[in-house]
Amino acid sequence: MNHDDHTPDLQPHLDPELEARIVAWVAGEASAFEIAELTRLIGEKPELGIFKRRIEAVHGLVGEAVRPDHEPLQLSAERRAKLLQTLGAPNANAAQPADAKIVSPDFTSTKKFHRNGRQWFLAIAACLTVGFFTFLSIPVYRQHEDKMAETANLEQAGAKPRDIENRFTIDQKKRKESTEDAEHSEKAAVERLAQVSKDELSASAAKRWNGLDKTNVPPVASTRFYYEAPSSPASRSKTSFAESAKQLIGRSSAVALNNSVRSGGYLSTSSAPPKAEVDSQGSSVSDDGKLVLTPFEVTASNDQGYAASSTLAGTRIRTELKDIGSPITVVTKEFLADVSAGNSAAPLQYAPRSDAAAGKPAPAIDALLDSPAQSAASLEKKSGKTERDDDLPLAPSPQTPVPTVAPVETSTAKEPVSTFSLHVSDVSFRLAQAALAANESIDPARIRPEEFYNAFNYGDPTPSLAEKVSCRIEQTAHPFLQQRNLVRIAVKVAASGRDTTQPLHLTILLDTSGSMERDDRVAIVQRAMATLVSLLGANDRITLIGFARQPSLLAESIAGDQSKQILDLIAHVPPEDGTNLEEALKLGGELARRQFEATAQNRIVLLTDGAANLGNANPAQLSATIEKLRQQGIAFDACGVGFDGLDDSMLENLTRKGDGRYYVLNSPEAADAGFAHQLAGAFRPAAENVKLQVRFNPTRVGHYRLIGFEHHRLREEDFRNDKVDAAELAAEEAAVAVYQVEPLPQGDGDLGEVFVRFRDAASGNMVERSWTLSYDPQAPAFDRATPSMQLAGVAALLAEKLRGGPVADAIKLGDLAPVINTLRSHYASEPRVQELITMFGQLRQRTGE
Amino acid sequence: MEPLVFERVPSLPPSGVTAGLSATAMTAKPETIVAVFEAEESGLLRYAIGLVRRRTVAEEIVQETFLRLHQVWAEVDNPRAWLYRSVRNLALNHLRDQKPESELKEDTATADDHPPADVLGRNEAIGTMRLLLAEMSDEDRTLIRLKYNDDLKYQEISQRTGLSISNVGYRLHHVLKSLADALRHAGIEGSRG
Repeated sequence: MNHDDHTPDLQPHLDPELEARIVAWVAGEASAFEIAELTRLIGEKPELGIFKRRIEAVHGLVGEAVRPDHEPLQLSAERRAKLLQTLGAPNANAAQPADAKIVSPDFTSTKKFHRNGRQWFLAIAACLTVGFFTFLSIPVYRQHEDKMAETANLEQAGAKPRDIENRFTIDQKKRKESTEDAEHSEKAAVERLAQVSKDELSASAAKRWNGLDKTNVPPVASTRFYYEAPSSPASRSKTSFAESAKQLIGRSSAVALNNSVRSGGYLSTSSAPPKAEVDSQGSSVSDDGKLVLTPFEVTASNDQGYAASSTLAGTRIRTELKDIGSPITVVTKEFLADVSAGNSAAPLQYAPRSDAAAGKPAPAIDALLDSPAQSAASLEKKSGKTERDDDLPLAPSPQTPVPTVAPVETSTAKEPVSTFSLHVSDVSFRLAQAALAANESIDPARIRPEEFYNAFNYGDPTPSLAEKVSCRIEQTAHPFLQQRNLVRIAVKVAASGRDTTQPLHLTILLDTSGSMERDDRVAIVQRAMATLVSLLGANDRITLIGFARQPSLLAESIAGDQSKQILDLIAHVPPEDGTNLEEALKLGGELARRQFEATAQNRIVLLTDGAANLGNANPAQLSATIEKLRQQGIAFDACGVGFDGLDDSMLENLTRKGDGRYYVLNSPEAADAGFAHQLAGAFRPAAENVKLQVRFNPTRVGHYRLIGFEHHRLREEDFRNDKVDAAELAAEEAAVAVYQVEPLPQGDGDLGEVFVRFRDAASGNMVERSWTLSYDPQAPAFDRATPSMQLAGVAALLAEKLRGGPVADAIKLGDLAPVINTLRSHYASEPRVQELITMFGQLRQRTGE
Repeated sequence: MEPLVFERVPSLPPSGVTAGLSATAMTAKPETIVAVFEAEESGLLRYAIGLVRRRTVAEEIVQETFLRLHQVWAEVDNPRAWLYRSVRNLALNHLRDQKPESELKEDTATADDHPPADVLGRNEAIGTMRLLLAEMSDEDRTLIRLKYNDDLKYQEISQRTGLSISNVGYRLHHVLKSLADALRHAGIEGSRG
């Protein structure tokens, strides 16, 4: 469905009008005269005949496809009955995000085929387990048979069998449910314990039992106690609950909590030191025939580092983690310590497979996990060989910049799925450009390859038919690495954007610090604001806040068509010292909320030239504020003015959190059409929450690496989780990703599949499309690839060269010269590409290659 | 250039307007999953058989697909496209995973499990076409429906949609050509039929 000039679809190119006439003929619309004319033309041009045959074939297929089948097929009677029974039943699972995972196109494992069956199995197993233990407990408590009914009731009230398995699942909804459950049972148990302790548990065990028999004290002894609270990892650490229980119980140290595998799950009361009576069975029968159970024993001794092996569940079965049906995340004590978790939400921010309380993934950690170098580090840690050191990249703040990811490939066998948020920016490219031109050193951490190859217009086709989004895929042999191909995946959104009548509510935060007084910066701001104002209409509202040491409101809620007066205002703001972004953001947020309108685009736009150097410049704080605003429907864009002193990574991070755009303007000329386009793109997104997922075929691809997007990686399951935020794309805007893949010539099948998912801003619906990433046994050499592939390749390689590392060493700039020449002539009228070529020359000079 | 020209084509009236002309709008989400099952069972099964070439496996795939749809029914707004796409993915995945095994099973499979090859090819082609049709924009699908379901002439389509006759022709041309391209990408040689 891709009007791709570079694939030989219906080549050679025919006159569309002629094509339409042939289609009309096939569709039975042509007159005899027209048919004669067309037949003559086909005689002249055989390719028209090919076209006609193809259309005829499609015509026939469509005709057949729209009609129902002649002889309807049915599933076998048994399957049918079973399926209809399931489908007809009320859809209990529909709302559970955990189950949504099943439909993620994870077809790499056939196990999933049987997943549903397995869930049934688990449920049955859980029921059986409970039944079994109920049965077991009969002989043990045969003296107290009269209590059994009560016991059973309690068990039911305390924990339904199903929960035994469910509780381990850290999946939002289930987590909530089970937390409630766990709280219930916990509370109930604690209340009972407290009551028992009030009743003075100081007598001997025998007396106690008698006492229980005689009094109406609830049968603590047979209350099954689930030591489990999945949503609160703190209480998962092995001792904390036991401790709190002890505190509650106070003096009655006689209470022993027993949770060992063989005899666990019961609370027993005994005044004797329990250890003395423990036999090899884990429990013992004292002389007078009374049973004393082993002490409560939930041990994490098998846990190593961050890796836990068992669930620590309060059941008798201490299930091995590997045997659990659904994926769960266990947070170990060491992990809690390393992330300095002070509350239950904190560790979840870092744990894989869980959404932090804020419903936002921790990109830093994702990137870390993607990075084999870092995994290696944590593996080492797991094995306990290294002692804890503070510079381990698992730093507690989510705002800690992700360390430069070592460019190591991912093995498709291990992790065939690559998921990320499609983010379009060119800031890194422009900063590098400025640094090269000024012959300054370049911080490798500032190089974001995706912002290099997304700086160009590749002329990718705008989607036309059906698809709200198109995808173009190109490949070439990697110019420097053996057996590697470069793959360019370009995704472009259709032209139908958000309704242009939707009002825009802008809150501008303008940096008025002294440094902004430089003539060129004043000019940039004037020009940028003029561009911005020119985009506004009568329904739009603009609020202007100037800020230095303190923010001050300069204009509030000016109608878009009168916003020219703002330009005068800006020219007369007196400069001050300081850049107190925090205060400005606070005021801006307040005003934006006051002006908030659900039907409008609500955005805060920051214009600044420097780092926040007053107030609480803690990036974590700022980004938390911005995230909160975004959750209230207010996006955050940032525009850097000038390249010196700009806190690039902070602004990039903030806009990523705020769903917004980040751009830099270094000269008044830069605030031109391109800038206006970017603004328009930011203000009127056509696609929101744009995510891309590539599922590589392990039988065809050995290894792969996404070049760039290190800050934007998502977890596989987040692809379908629309609560997980991702980037926006404007109408007719293309976003490009470049992969390095190792195709296996002896392999089998396609390279993989590309999935794109986003919210269509026009309709508000989620749209998902997929394309096949086909295998090209003869991928063209780099110097013979399409110009767009070459351009993306050169941009990516240049970024990698600047970033340094082993890949950079392999890149020999001199060898790229022929391709550069091709680009120079092919993109002669594209200033951006010419700039890239200039950068290439400067870098070559610098490295002496 | 082409997309630009295409953009200028005025939009068809929303499907609600034309819905009354024939059955129901193709995109209106059916009320229940059971209704969807009744409607799509045969087509999906045929498609799956065309892809995996074994009836039993095809049935398993179709069953699995519906079970999955059941789980996410509330989130899927175009069940038809979803189903066809899922069947395709599951089938391709099956082929990928089962390749070495299938040769072994070849002997033991019953005759019923092996319909003739040309039927299979046709099944696959039709299924793929249904997938493409389901994923089309409403406007294009309306056009296809008027042309192929209701068997209308360009002129009648023009009257019902408000498009000019030449626009109808131009658009239909685009739709069919794109379908031909898409079929080719899906590995189905259109001219083979």
